[in-house]
Amino acid sequence: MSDHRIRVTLDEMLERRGMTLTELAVAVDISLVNLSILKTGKAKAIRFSTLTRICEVLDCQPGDLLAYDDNR
Amino acid sequence: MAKTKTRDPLGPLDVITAIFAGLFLTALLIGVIAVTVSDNASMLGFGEDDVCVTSQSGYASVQGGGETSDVDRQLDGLKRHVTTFPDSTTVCDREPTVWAKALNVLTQAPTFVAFLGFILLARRTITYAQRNGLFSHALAERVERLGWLLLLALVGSALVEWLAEGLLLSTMATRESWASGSFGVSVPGIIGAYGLVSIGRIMNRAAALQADADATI
Repeated sequence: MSDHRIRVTLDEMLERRGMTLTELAVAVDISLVNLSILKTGKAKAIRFSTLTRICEVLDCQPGDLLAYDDNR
Repeated sequence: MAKTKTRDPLGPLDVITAIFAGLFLTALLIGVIAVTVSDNASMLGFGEDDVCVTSQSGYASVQGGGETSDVDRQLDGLKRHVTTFPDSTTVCDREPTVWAKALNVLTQAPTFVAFLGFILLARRTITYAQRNGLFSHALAERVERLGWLLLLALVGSALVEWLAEGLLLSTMATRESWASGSFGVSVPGIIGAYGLVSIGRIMNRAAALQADADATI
């Protein structure tokens, strides 16, 4: 069971930008496997460098990618 | 672009362990064949006609006790104020029973079996680490278990050898008791086993850190 209540909202952001996970993986130079882990909420932590690259490509703020979910 | 070849950190250890395991098993095989084929060959107490054991007690019938004579001093090149004492006596039974032969094997074989078992288990652990990676809880537990097994095997084999030696001596000489064997456990072996247990525990903590690092994107 997860020990945190942070939800990654990457899929919602991708939908808004009309982008696929594969396209994002190529653009930010991160493997599809790792991005998939991040998207499904299986990642334990995210590096600032990763967050920076995703925000650059998706033109968003870190807060747009993460949300506090009380129901988790 | 040329691919950089990653060096296997466990490679040298694997080779050394494989050589040791090969030597031990070859020696065992040659010994078994020699004992089976030849009447004169013996290995770890198997195939010995006389059963001999070293006693720490002095025996009056043994030559060489007492003050060293001047003739012996000259022969051994000893100075006037230096004396020699036999600190142990080898007691041999020329007509051993099956029980005595079995005890004779038990005075020699346990340490060999313990070391052979350790080498084979160490090789298995190294192969497991090469296949599954260095940082995992499973490997850390294997290393710790290997340490405990080595510790138990060393103490266990020393106890069995001590008991067998004492029992053997008591069958040969009425003044010897079952507890008169000499107890000898490998101190470097104990330190090594303790080191393995410690490394296993440290690796267990490192595995948790590695798992966190692996789950960081």
